[in-house]
Amino acid sequence: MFKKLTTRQRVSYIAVALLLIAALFLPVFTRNSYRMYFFSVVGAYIIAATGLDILLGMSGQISMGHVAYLAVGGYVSVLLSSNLGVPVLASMLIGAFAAAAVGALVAIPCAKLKMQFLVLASIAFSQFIYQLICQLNFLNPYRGLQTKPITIFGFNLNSNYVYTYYFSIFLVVVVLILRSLLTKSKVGRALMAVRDNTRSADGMGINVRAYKIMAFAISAFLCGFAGAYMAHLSGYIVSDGYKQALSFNYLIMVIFGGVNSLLGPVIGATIYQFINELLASAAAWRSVTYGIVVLVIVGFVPGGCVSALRTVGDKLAHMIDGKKGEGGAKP
Amino acid sequence: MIQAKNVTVRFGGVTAVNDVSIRVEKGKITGLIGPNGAGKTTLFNTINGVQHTPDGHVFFDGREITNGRGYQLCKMGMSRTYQSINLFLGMSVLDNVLIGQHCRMPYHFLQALLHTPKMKAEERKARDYCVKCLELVGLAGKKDLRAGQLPYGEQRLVEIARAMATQPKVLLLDEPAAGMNATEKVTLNKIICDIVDQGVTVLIIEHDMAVIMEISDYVYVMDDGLLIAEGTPNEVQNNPAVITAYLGGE
Amino acid sequence: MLLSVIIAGLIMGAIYGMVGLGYSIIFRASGIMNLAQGEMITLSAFLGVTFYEVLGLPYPIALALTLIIMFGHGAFIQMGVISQFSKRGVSGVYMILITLGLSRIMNGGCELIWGSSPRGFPSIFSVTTINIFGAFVTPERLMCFFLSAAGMLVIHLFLTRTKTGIGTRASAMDSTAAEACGIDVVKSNAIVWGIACTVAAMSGMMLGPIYSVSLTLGANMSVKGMASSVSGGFGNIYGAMVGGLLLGLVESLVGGYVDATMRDMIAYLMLFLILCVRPAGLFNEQSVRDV
Repeated sequence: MFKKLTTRQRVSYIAVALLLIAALFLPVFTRNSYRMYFFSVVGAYIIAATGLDILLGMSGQISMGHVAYLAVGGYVSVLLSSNLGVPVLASMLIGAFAAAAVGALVAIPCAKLKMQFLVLASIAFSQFIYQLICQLNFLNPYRGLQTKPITIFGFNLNSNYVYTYYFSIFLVVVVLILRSLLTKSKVGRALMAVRDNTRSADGMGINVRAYKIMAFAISAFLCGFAGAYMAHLSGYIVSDGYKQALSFNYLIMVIFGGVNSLLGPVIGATIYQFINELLASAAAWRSVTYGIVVLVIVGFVPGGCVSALRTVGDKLAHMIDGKKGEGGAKP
Repeated sequence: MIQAKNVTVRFGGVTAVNDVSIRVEKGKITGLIGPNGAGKTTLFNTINGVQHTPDGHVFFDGREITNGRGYQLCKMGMSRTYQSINLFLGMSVLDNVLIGQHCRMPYHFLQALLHTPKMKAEERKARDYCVKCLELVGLAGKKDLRAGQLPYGEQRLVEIARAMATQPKVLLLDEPAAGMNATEKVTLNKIICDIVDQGVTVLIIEHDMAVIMEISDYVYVMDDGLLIAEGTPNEVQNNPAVITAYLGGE
Repeated sequence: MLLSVIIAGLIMGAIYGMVGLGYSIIFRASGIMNLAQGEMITLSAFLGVTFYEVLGLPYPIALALTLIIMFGHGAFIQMGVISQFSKRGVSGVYMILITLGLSRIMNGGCELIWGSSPRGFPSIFSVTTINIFGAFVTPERLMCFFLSAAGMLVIHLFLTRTKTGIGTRASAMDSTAAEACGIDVVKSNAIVWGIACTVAAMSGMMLGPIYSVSLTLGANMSVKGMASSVSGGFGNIYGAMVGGLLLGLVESLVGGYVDATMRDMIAYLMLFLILCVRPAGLFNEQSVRDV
């Protein structure tokens, strides 16, 4: 099977494999608790960004209000695990499903809107959820609620962030695999058909409305799960983390990494968090940087990092082929 | 197979289609011709569920489908191509044609997510069928290219392949020869005849006399929203009303 | 009590309408949803407070200066950023992202220049309240009401009576045809953005005295503006004003009779519900649906 791939594809598979190995062995070189926590959280961001990319990159719908789903997932999970004694993993999943349900409910009236109005609707909904949370006193929105640590069969993952680090890697790999499988099925194709040409998709027997709503639900599910995961990782949940404006950050991750790609959200989320850390003390410079990043990407490299890497990969493959004496022909 | 009765469509003050009735016989090629703006595509749209007709009825395979939902007609066996290219340009040629098989692959979301053996079997079957559809139009070799990369004439052929992939009983072709050169038109005629040989009924709108007159079994002529003539190609060609209306047809 | 609630609501509504006007103008003219509009308000408020408080200039001068500078700012953004990206084929979702990027840059810029602590806008008038039919209104708010109305009138006259104004409307409808008629499309586009920015500046100068000047001013007001313009019909100039008044009224009524803390939620809920149920707003035709 490896033989059937083009040189460039081989290059990319090898690169990804190397990165994965590097990631798996990272704790050998550093067990710094903060760093492990940092990377664990990056995992959650990757999952959320993947959710947004499924909506934006695969089904072509825009959402500026994704933090709402993170909030729903987070608070549902916290309430279930802290107040009803539901095991944390289960409550995280239930939170994700709750977020998916909310996403679907929102999509029912909103998916039919034209793009600019969908943007407004998502902004409005997200801010509404934030305000609602701030009104509900039992959520202790401003001071925050404590969250239970993540446990698997009684084993406390939060006791050492190296465990959560590996758990994050596991979750990310699972999500990416599932996404890849979905893309290569009729569901994935249908979503992309809806993105490219709704009229044709309709003519081909695809229920456009249903698929648009499905995209929202899947996207919200992943964001809800990520939100719950983040809440349990950090040990507390506060309304501050769910202001609508933060949705922009996820959008940056997706656009910067590369829309409609498997690894785009991975690259985008990781680099975004790094920049966040570097500029942690300079909120103003962060804003300016992200603004400039958006302008540069949209204007000059619309495919994001992934497309830039593809170009690099092509050149590398070209060189390799040249060295093999294949006459410099592109694979 | 298809029957449209008294279809009327008005856009504001303009009557695009005025009390038109046509029949499309099973297994035959029916042509719909007329000058620009005659209302042919609008009539198509009423048959295909895209356009509402307040009066008038459309029947497909004996069932009434007037003002129906477009996406359900595909399952019933009606498929169409469009006047302008309506491919999914971001996807590969094969993926485009695979969309045609969408309604014929019954597996559901969970099976799609987990790639169960049943799902994989259906995918394989669908893929093979789609490659056959591409062979029908002679583009099997280009199946992995991005649809947006093909030249215009070939994109049109991919649309036909995609429509065929839905395993239709009836194929509605809206000006398939538009933008094609003479050689491509000859190929197109052969493809359409191949399609009919497979048992598919065809309703085709065309401007180009060479294409329609050569292959049609029965022809309807529209002008200014009205049906002005119908008959076999020979009868219609010699009809004085058609000749007057259709200046510059050949 | 009812009357005072209504009056307070209408006065705030006029200001919301002004904010919404900015969105509608740009959408009408270039089909772009300018998400940077909120930050233009923030920037204007900071500029204004600098002129008025720090430099001690009289309010009318501070206002005029801010308006002029922001006009230039808007024109500059259109010519330097928006049209450059437009030429490169950026449109739709990506153009909205550009405006988002701009808003982040402006917000960051404001923070770098003026710092992150909010500033109070000193009062303009010596009288603290005026009594209108039982409603106690600050003279600042009253002034805002009249300024909004005057601003709307001026813009209306500009767009319908002056040659340049009519030219901008023509460019919006069909830029190729407009150019063929000898209209300077580049100038028209720049003017439109300049006006929208001026409207934002006006809003900022009015909202500053009411809400105090902070980095979040624009973001908070932006949704109210969006709610106003969508209610009235997005892109519809008069709709923005009517929508604004409506929003102001509803907010005021809810705040007065239901729960004061729920006032902010109302704008968002209203916007969301309107988009769900009647996205075309009060005055537009139904043309906002996809499939």
